[in-house]
Amino acid sequence: MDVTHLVPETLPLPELDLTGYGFGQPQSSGAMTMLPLFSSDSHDQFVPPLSGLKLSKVEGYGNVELYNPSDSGIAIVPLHIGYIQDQAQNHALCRTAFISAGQKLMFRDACCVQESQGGYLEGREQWFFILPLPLRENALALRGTEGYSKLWSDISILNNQFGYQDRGHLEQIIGGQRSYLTQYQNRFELLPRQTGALFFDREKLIGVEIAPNPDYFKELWMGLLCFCYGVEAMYQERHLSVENSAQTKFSAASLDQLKVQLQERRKEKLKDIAEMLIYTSDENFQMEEEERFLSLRLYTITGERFVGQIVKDGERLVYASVFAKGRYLRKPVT
Amino acid sequence: MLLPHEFTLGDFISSLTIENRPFKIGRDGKFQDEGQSVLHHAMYSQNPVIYALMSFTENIREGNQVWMLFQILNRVRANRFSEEEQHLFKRVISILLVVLPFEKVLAVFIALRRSRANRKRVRKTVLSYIFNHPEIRFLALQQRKTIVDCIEHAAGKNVARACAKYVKELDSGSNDKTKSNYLNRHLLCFAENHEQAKRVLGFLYQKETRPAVMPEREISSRPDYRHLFEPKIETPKTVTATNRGDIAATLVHIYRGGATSTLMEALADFVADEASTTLPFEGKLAVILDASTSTQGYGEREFCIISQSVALLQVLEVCCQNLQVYIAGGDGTPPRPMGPSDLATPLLEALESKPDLVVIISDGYENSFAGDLKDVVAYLPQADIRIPVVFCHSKFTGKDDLSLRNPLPQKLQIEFWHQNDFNSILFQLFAMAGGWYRTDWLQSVLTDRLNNIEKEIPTWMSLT
Repeated sequence: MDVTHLVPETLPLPELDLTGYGFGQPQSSGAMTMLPLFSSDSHDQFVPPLSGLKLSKVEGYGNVELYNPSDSGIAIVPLHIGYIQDQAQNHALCRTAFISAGQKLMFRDACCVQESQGGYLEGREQWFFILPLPLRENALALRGTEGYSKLWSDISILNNQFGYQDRGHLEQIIGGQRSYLTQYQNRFELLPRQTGALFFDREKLIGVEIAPNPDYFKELWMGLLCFCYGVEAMYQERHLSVENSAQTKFSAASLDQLKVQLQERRKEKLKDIAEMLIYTSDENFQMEEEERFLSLRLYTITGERFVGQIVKDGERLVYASVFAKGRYLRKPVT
Repeated sequence: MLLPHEFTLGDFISSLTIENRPFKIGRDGKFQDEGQSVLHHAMYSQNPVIYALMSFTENIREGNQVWMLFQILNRVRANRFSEEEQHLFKRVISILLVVLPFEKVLAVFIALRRSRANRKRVRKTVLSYIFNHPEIRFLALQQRKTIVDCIEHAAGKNVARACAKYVKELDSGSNDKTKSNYLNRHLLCFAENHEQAKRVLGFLYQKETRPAVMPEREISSRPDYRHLFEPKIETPKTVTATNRGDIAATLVHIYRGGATSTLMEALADFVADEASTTLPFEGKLAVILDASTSTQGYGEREFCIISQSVALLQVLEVCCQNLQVYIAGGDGTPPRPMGPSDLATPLLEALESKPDLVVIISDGYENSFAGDLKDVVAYLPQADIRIPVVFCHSKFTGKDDLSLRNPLPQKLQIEFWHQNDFNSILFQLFAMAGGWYRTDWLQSVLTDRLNNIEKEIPTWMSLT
C-alpha cells in the first residue's frame, strides 16, 4: 500500500517527531477513528510483547516479575500491560521499562486490578491486556508507588460509570464484557506492516500508540485496541449519543465522475484528520527521563491534555504510548 | 418499510420468507393489512405465472401462501393466458388448497365473495374444495355458516338453496329426474363422491339446531405439510469452526496451513457436490469478496468467516460461468485476509462491467471509508443505474449480532453462516439477477419444486 501520499502536513504533537512515518487511510467505527501509522525504520532488535515477554511470577500482591527469554532482543514493556489468568488475581503495571535479553525484572509498583479474587498469577497461559483508557492517567501517576490496591478506587469509579458494582474489580468490564470487547477488534483492521496508530474520539485526538516494529504492534494490537480504546468506545456508545458527521453526498452524472468524487471525498476526510491534528498540535510537554538502556531513553511526558511514556534512541522515536488525560477525554471539543 | 414499487424480486423473496401477515378482510371488502394486499397485488402484476410459482419458495411463510392463493383466484382470467399457463395455475391452486389449513382457505373464499369475484374458476374451485375435502363432515360441523356462505357465493344463493331443497326431496323418495339433473349440473358435478356431497349439503341446510349428521370421526391431528416448504437440514447445536458445512471446514484447515493436495481435492469435490444441487445460471454476475483483515477473526473462530465467504463464492463460480470476482483486500488463493475493507471501489469497478447483479460477500465491517458503500449505492438510481446490489452477510453462527456491521442498512441483506444456507441464497441471487422478466432459470427451478411437492400430497383436490 502506498501511504506516502497520505502523510498529513501537520504532525500530531511537537515532542513526537513522526518524520519518517506514513499514515494509512483512517478507519472509523462509532465514535472512534483510527489512523494507521507506518514507520520507514525497522527497529528489529525489540522483541514483541506476547512471544518475547513472559510473566515470570508474582511475589505477593503488587509484585510482578517479567522475563525476557530471548537471546539478544530487548523488551520494551508496553505501558499499562496487564495479565489475566483464571484462579489468580489479575495485575497490571503502571509504567514501561527495558528488559534485556535473558533478564528478569521485578515490578514492585504493580497494581492488582481484581479486588474480589485471590491467588497468584503464574507463568502459564499468558494473556495480556492494556489498561482501559480512563484508568491510564492515574495508573501512570502511581508509578513507583507500592501498594497493590492503589488503583481500586479508580477502577470503582469506572465500574460505577458503567453501572456495575463500584469495587476495584476490573473483571466486571474486561471479563463481563469480553464478547463486546474482543469483537471490537473486527471493527478496526490492522494493516500489513503497521507500526502504530493515532486514535480519535470524533474530532479529538485521544491516543498516540507507536511500536518499534510491525511484529511488536501486531502482538500489542488486540490488548490495546479491545481493552484500552475498546472500553472507552463501549462507554461512548452506551452512554453518550454517537453520531458520525455527515459526509458530502455524490452529485456525479456518470460512474466515471463518481469515481472522481469518491476519491475527492476521501481526500477531504484526510484533510479533516489533518485539522484534528492541528487542533492538538500546540501541546507543550514536560519530559522526565525515567530510565536508560545503552542509547535508549525512556521518558514520561506530561502536557496539559496528554500524558504518556515514550522511548527514544537519540532523536528517533522508538516507542510511544501517549493518551488523553481524564478530564480532556470526556470534555467535548469546542 | 419499502413501498411496493420499491420492491425488487429479491426483496419480495425475502419478504415471503420473513413476513407472515394475517389475511383478514372486512365486510366492506377492505383488507385489514392494506400494505400487504397492495404488495401482493403489485407483485402479481409483475409476472403472474412466476408470482404463482413463487408460492413454493423455500421457507415461505404460510401467511404469504394465503395472500397468494387469493391473488391468483381473484385475478387470473382464462382468456389472458395460454393453455399451458392455465394448467400451471390450476396445479398451483390445487396444491395451495391442500396444504393450507381449512379455515385459512375459507378466509380466502370469503374474501373472494366480498371482492365480488365470481367466475367459472372460482365456482369450480370453491365447490370442488368443499365437496371433496376429506374432513368435510367434521369441518361442516364447526364452520357450518361460513361454508354455506361460500357455497352460496360460488353457486349462487338461489341455486344452492334449490339444490339443498332437492336433496331433501330426493332423500324423501322423490324420483324427479329434472331435479336430479339440476343437482348434478350445478353441484354434484364438482364432487367425486355424490352421496357424501348430498349428505353434506343436507346437513348444512338443515333447520334443526342439533346436527343430524355427526362426523364419522374426530380429527385427532390435521395433516401438516409445512415440511414441504422447509429445507431438510440439520443444524449443529454447538457451532464450531468445522461443523458449518464441508466446504468451509476444509477451507478452515487450508487457511490454518494445511493446503495439502488431499484437502484441495476434497474442497473441489465438496464444491461440485453443493453446486450440483442448483441449476446452472446463464446470467452475468459480479461478486465482491471482502477479504480484509477483519474477516480472519480470532481465537476459535479464526478463518471461519473468510472460509464461509469463499465457500459461497466457489459454489457461485461453478453454478454461474459468467461471473467476475472483485476482491477487497486479501492475498493469495484462496485469499488470505489482509488489508482494509474498501468495498465502494470494487463496487464501482463491478458496475462498469454491467452485470445483472452485484453480490457483496462480506463480514459487514466496513472499517476503511465507512459510509462510502452506502452512499455509492444510494447514488446509483440518480445515474439511472438499475443493476441490483445485494449484501450477503457472512456470519459465524445464525445468532451473530449485526447491529454494528451493517454498511447497507436500507438494502436487502442476505445472511448466511452454514453451507445449508447456500441453496436458498443461490435461488434468491439468481432470481434477482434475472428479474421479473428473464425468468427461464427461476421458472425451471420453481416448476421442479412444484413437481416434487405434487408427488408428496394427496390427490383429492384436482382442478386439472
